[in-house]
Amino acid sequence: MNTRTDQDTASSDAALVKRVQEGDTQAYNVLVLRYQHRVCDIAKRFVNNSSDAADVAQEAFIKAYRALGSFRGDSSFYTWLYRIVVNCAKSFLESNSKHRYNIDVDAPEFEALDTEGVLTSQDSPDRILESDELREIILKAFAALPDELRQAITLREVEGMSYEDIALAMKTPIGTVRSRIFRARQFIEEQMAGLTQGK
Amino acid sequence: MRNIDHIDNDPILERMSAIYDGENLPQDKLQSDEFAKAREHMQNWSLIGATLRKENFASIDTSFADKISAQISAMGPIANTPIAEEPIVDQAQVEQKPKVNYVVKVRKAFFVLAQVAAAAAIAAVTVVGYQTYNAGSITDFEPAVNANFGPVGGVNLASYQNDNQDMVIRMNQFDSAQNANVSQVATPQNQADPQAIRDMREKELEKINIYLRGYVLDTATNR
Repeated sequence: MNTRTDQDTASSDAALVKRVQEGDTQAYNVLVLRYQHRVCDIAKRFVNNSSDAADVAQEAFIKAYRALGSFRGDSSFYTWLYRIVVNCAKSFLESNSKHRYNIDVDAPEFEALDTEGVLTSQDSPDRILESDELREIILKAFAALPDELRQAITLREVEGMSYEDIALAMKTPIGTVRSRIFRARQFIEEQMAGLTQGK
Repeated sequence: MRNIDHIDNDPILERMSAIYDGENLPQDKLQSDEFAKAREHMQNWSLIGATLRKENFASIDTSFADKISAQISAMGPIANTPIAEEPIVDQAQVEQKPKVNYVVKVRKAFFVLAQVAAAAAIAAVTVVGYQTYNAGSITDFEPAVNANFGPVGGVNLASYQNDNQDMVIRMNQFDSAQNANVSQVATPQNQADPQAIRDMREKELEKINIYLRGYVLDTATNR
């Protein structure tokens, strides 16, 4: 299902990257929101710890922001970001192996680590959601979408196609594509809200 | 299939949804208030996308993006941000250093030491064995009589000075071809002919007899 190509991703990122390079910090926040889960996932493959992975991912995003001025677009933004994450993870592992025994396990940040593989947050524990349950709700809501909405959001999120390409594929105006994607998201969000309210 | 007609049409959110996808970006910078309004929705859209792409997220920390956003805001736009050291390094250059395995190192050192010890033991056995074997052979070659066995209490008489003739005899017993390699001297095949040894002994006995006869005659004359 994960067939998103590098070229598709690059085309959807290029405009945001250009905006960041022009000084729009909010555009970078959009990129962070879009890639946060993927970057954390990559980091976790290296450090094998949710808390450390979040630190590595955070460092990678900050480094990427500081270096984005020199990003020429020779590769896609995600490919470039991926390399930064890998380098940060390797640096973390090297540093951690040197100072493994200097870690203060009684430090407050360690109290935030749970023992069941679910990351907790010191700042807002009420915002933590159980991932499996959430995933199930999202997939159920996705399956319940009308065909045209499900197709539109699939082409966008899974295939990584631009609105223009989706419009060509679905033979509809770009405005309609935009509306369908938004409505699909809104519908799934409503179902997600039910989970958070129930907690 | 559920009815979605109840979903409100929110033009701002719809525009932010397009911006989230990198589409329909405004000419100006993104408005902070609009972004703040859509931020929570973007978090959810991010989760929706990750789920549909079957990306793994074992946990959800919704404050993650907020922390980065706070740091980015503190740093300011890229133009005002000090240029960082090039973070992109060729992956071949960031090969992880191989961890030193001290157990393997100790094992290797022990193996080498064991080999050296074994070699030394074999060499020692060879040398001792060679010397022991040769010692036995030399005894066989010893002249029947030497100075200590002389008739006058070990005094080496002038008439019985060993002129190394015995050694010459001994050396002559060896085949020249066999003597080409000195290491072959100790082998049983290279030992002297028993007949030659007997001849040598007879010559030695004759020498002794001549000496004794001279000694006796001299003593009798002096008396």
